[in-house]
Amino acid sequence: MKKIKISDHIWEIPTTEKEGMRVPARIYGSQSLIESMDEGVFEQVTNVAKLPGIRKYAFCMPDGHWGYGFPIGGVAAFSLEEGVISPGGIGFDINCGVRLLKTDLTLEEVEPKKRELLDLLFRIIPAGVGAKGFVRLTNEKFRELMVNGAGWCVENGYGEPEDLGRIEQGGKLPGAKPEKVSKKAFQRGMNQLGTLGSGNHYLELQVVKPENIYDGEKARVLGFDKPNQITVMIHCGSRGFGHQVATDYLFEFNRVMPKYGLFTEDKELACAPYTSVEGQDYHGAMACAANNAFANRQVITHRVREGFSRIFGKSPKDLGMEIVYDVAHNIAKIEAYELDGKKEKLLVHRKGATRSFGSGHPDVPERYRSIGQPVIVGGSMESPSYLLVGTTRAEEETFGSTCHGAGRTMSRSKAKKMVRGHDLKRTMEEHGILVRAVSMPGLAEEAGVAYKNISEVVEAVDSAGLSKKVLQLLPIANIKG
Amino acid sequence: MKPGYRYIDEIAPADQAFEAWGASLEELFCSCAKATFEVMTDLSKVEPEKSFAIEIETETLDELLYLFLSEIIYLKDTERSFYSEFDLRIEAGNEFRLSGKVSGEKIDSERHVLKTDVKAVTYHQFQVKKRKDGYYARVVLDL
Repeated sequence: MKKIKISDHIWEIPTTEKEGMRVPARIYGSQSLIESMDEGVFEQVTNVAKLPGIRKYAFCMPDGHWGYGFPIGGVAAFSLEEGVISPGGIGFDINCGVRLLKTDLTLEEVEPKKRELLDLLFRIIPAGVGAKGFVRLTNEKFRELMVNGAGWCVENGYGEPEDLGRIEQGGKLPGAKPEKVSKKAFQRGMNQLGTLGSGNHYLELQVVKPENIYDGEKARVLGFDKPNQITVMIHCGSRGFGHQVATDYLFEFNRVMPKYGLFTEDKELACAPYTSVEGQDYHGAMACAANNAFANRQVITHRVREGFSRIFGKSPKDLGMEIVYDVAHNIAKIEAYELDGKKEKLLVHRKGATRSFGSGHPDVPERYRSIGQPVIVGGSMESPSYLLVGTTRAEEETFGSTCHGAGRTMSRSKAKKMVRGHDLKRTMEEHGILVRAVSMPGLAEEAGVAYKNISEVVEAVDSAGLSKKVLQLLPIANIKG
Repeated sequence: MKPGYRYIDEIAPADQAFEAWGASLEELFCSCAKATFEVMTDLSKVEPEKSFAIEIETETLDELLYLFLSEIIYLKDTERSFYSEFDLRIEAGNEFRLSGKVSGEKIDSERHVLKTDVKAVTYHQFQVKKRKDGYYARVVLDL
């Protein structure tokens, strides 16, 4: 497919490349990242460009890879009146996201107790297939949780009120409609609150070394003011609850499309008009799943704080265990952007992409408003992660969006053929990264060789101005489902 | 034709694709179910201790396979169980109807091999086809 170079970091596929494209597609990335992307990315991003009501461009971020319907790394904004909502633009794991906690502990303080700490966290945070959460929910409580998200957790003793101001959208997506969630989703989600899941989900202990701070002033605003500070990163989503909501509505949307005169060759791109009954129902159910994911990360945070507290004999507050931020990277949200000189409310789908609002944006928490919204980009188990901040340029160019992670380049089976779980664990431990994994084959599938070079992805969004690097986080211990 | 399945690497590198076959629709669906659970565990270690009834009615064969696999993934979570035996009857006409039972046991991390969880069935390059000697399907699972 023909790609026109717009700048060093932007490549455009014009509408003439595929019949039915309503807008051009724009892919962000360095030349080498673009060249290493599979053809499926270009196929999928141009399919997205065909959807009714899409505005400006169909985007793909530098970590783009082949997904279902949308590519992973896909961003698209739709008119609320003429546009659609598509489960394929959000993903099966609704509000999969990343949360970063900081501590005032240093590497020197944590290193001697690292093994003990990791063993405890592994015990108290359920992970892997079949894991059961420790929070007992009734139907009524679950309904409240779907509406209030992380706020429900704080009300029920799993966190502090100030946590909520450090989560995207306050940890609560408005418009949740529990009555639009199937009984199956209720049942699947009921006993999974506070579980990590499996696949690429993880909990990681990290260190911020002084040489890996790129912007000291912003780092201080984000809570990093001493050398070798320890952080905790949590990567997970809405578990079986969200997967069931996505499954239910993908099926439903494929059935109702003809009624609305809609057709997509790829069934994963099934959609419904946003204003239709089905579109509104899915939006309400999706918000429930998004809130479930915020709650999930909140409950896990609570357990992490308990674990640290027990090992270091101090309260979480005394250990400085504050949330830096929590981002959603599989979600659709209503946001206002200026188009043709007019502010317009749009439904922005981000599938494997992170919101990236710049300084001064009213939705950025006050304490960060002078530097921009924190953007958390999680790496694979063996590689670093990054903390960046959003930019006004992202708001102007990509509907306030940036990358979300490294992006896979190798199949799971191939990774398992190249790496054995036990060998990987040993090698990582030799490099100072302790690992506790529920599944050894699962561990091998997530080996660093299976992923793109995250630093190249982060350089690309930094150079393109979609977000700005603040610091790098190096793994020192990892829990895998 | 002997029923069976094979994992495909090329389609969905981040997840798991497979193709499956069988002489009848029942055999095909059974192959697909086994391929799905073998992603999560070593099925030879799962005993068919407890059974759950399944009934599904749909308009198309594609929908029937999508809903059947979604149903057993749902039962995996709600019963926290792996399933190794599938006793199914499928009626195909103007509408499609599946009835039968799935048998397995509670997930036990001491006895079972835990691999990667399956989140959902996708429609990505989804195919169910009648061939000369039986039935064929291609499915991508989201992990």
